[in-house]
Amino acid sequence: MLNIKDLHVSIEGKKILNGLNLSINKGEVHALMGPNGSGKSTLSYFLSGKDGYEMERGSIDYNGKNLLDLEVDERANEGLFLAFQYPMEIPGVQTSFFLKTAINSKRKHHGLPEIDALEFAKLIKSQAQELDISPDMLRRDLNVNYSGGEKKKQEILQMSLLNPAMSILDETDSGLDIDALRIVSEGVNKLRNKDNSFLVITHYQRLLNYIKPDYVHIIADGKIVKSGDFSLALELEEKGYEEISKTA
Amino acid sequence: MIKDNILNDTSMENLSIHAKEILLEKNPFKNFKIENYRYAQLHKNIESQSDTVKSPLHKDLTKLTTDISHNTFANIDLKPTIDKWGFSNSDSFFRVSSLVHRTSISINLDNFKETSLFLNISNISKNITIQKKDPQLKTLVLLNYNCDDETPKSLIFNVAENANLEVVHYDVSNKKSFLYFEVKQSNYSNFNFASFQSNNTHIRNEFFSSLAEKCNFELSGLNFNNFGVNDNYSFIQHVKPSSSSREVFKSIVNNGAITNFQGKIYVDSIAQKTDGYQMSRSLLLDNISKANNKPELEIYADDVKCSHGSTVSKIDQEQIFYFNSRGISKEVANLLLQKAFIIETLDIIQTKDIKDFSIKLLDNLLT
Amino acid sequence: MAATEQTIKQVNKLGNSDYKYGFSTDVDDIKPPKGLNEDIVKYISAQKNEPEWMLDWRLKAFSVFNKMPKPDWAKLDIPDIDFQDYYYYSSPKSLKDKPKSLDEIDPEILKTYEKLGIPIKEQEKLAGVAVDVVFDSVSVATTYKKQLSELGIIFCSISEATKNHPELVKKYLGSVIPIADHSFAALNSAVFTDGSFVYIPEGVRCPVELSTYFRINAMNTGQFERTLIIADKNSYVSYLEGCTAPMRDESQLHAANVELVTLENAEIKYSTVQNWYPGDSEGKGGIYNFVTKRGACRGNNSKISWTQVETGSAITWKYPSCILQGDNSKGEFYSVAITNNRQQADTGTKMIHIGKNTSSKIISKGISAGKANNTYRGLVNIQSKASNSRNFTQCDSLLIGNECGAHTVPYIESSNSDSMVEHEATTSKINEEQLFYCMQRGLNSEDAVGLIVNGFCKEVLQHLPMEFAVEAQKLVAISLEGSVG
Repeated sequence: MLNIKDLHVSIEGKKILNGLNLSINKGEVHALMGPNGSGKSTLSYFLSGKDGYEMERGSIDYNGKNLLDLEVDERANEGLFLAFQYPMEIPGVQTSFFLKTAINSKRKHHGLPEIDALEFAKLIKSQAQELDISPDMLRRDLNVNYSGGEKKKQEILQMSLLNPAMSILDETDSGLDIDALRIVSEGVNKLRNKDNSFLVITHYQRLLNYIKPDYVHIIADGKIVKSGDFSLALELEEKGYEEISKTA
Repeated sequence: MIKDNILNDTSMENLSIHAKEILLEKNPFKNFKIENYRYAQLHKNIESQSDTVKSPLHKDLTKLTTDISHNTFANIDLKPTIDKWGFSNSDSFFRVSSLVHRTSISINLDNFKETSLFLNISNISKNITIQKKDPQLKTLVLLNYNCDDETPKSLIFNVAENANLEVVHYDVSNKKSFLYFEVKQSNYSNFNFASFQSNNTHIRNEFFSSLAEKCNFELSGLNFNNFGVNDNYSFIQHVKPSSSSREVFKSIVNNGAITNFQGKIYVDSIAQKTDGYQMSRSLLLDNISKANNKPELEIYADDVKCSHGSTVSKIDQEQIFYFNSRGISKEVANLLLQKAFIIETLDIIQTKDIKDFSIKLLDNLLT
Repeated sequence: MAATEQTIKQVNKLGNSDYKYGFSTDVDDIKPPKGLNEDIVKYISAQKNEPEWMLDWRLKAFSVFNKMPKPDWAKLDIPDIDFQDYYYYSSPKSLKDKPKSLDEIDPEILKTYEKLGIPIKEQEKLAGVAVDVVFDSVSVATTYKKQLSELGIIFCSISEATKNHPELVKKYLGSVIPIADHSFAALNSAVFTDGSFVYIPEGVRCPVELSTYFRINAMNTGQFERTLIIADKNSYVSYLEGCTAPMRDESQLHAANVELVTLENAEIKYSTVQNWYPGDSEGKGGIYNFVTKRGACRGNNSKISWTQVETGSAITWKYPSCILQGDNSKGEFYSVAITNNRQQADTGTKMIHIGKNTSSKIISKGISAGKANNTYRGLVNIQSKASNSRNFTQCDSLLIGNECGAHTVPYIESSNSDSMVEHEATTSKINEEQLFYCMQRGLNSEDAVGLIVNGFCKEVLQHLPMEFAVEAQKLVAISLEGSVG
């Protein structure tokens, strides 16, 4: 699915990723944990194709394609989804209209006709209900005046509507209370199947109690310093980043 | 005579045909792109107003000079200079005509060891060029009062790289005074300008400012209790990236006065990351007076943050009511709210003594 | 709604040309020679069988035009216009005798409208839209006339109104825009060829949105419409104006005058989508659009609301204004102006507060891309007797690329101490983070820009009647095509 080899990335001359290797297969859930400034968010933005990052070395293979050859929207339409840590507010654009546009962009990319209005209404209604998103929210402008929790739910709603092959969750747990965290995690778990993969980026082990990862990686100074299974997350919780990094 | 001057003066080379035409005409507005002078009435003879409104022009404010403590007079070096008058984007009639009618002197602020300097420009009949190179912050107090002079006067500030300068300009009790200020800021320099205008009959101040890279420019103006016509015109030009300008102008208009504010933020196409802000607010206290505001944005770079706002209103009657309900009379409440409205403009003055003095003067003149 | 979607679809099918509406039909034109002189004015008047008072009025306007300089306040680079190089009258030959029904209309013309996506036959049946179609200066068809006339509403061409309702035309024509207002107004008054006339009688609420489509078709024909709308006491009307023009290489002159009058308690809502040919990407060709639109709220409690979406024309010079004479009267101006490539726009409004308790609201959204310049210019004037008046103005500009310019030039003049004027303006670039977010969800860059810009303009677009809103949204996106690398 996704194969990152020896990735070196810098921003304005400052090196952020420093020889990162990561390989994610179909159906797997990987957690990436690390302290602030370790390069977690940079990785997620870089994979999505955001401007302003300089790749010095390395390769990224995505489903047999060179990811770097694809534009931001092409990557998205090929099934790469980023749940933003800080979802953008877009004034004047109704949420449901945005969702429809996104779905149709993907359908167009795959040579499918536009989604039927009724079908869309049904789809969005059922999905929104599961995530405890009110119909009123869908009529409001995208992310404008949403609470932190509402924004994160909105991200998961988009994820479930677009049904991506590879999802990256960038600190989706930050700013969530325990109820919202449970709803969001359930949403993610429902999407898990043998054909799609997840990269869950988080600072805390808390989220991983809800979304059980197959693998846990610890990132420090722009590279993965330790990998293991779920027990690594528990160990990390106990000892802290500094000690784990030292022993690595 | 003017004609000869223009034709012979080499410093005129930089002027556009347009500007030369202005000088050749008796009426400066003939064929002149009137837009920058939309509300100006320079050639109107404005007498201090009728019987009902008594101009306190006779008020002797000479005490002003002695009231500012801890300040010394600047020793003025009377060396005539010809400056490059390089404002490319607008032909100010003021700049042009002051250049023709007056000679220039130059003052180097670095020659003084005091941090606060005082200059009475009403006594000086020349254009003045002021140099500032030293990074150390200096405060220059300019006093312009009791003037009755039709001919514009120019003050040019050359602020060198990394230099910091603050100017406080008291424009008080003038019958007729036309001033042209031009600020040329080099990279990384900071310049604050506060203009205090009150008790005047006919004044116009033009502020032209040109900002290089990573400069800060702050201009604040307060204009209250005037008579006749009060014009303020500002043109802030961002010609290099990453500089910021902030301008706040407040006026309280009464006594049948006409108060005009026109201000433009201009951003060149290379001046990315400019941060420009301008606010002009007027309180209009009676129906025989007029407040005209014309804020402008002219922007050619896309990665900028520029905004302006402008309001004309009366004193908030609900606030008056609130004061009344606490036993404060309408008159006192009015005065308090006027002061509250305008005092914000003095916040940019960093030198405490001068700020305190300004507030004292405000209290004195706000009636 | 269905009609406009259909319009868009049909138009999109047109194919390769950058300008989606660029084509012209072969209709035999009858034309007097090029040029502007008294004889042409007389010729136009004679062609329309006008009464003498109208001819006199035109001639007076023409003599005023000759004496006036061109207005020069706008921040526009206007090429010298040779007024002698234009035709001032053209009318499709087969329409010399006006058709009694749509069936009599030249099939060529009907085809043009089909290409444009305005099937007249269907429009008759469509949800309550009556269409008065101006094709090259002559009104070709007026539908729904009968139904409207039962309510006492007069909706016809201005030439017809001159014949059939001279008392109304005499009373109101030129009463809001005097012939000597500026030279383009004088020019229009002298040589106007046709346009719409609407009279809504006392107490009537017009049940449908009145609509007119304008097209410039004949080569080098300056088009000079004259529109006059009068809303008598307690009446209401919503009027839509939309324009598209065929592609031409030579610049074309357009100087319309639109006058609105509301009497006591009356309301007029006037909406425009302007999509004249903007010229090619190098700025060649394109319409010069010098429009004077002005409304007078004569009666107490009356209201005039302007909504405009300006995406076309090489040069747009336009200030739909309100004169708020009646006490408690209201003026509104909602505007989206988009300039791309080498287009220039100087547009805004004037709100003149004369009566007591008058209020006005201005919302302007300017978008500039390519090498275009876009200026908002607006006057708010509060006169000394207009106590307790209020104005609120919000102007936002968006820049796409660093070769374009966005300018904001408000004039705020107040002489009344009980009044309140507020103005706010911002200028910024299109938000890169928002673009990235949309693209991460699979939208391509043009769709993403269209979406964000539409969001930026929503406050204005939502004031358009439904029929226009959908079309306008697509137009917004279409006009910005090619603006983002």
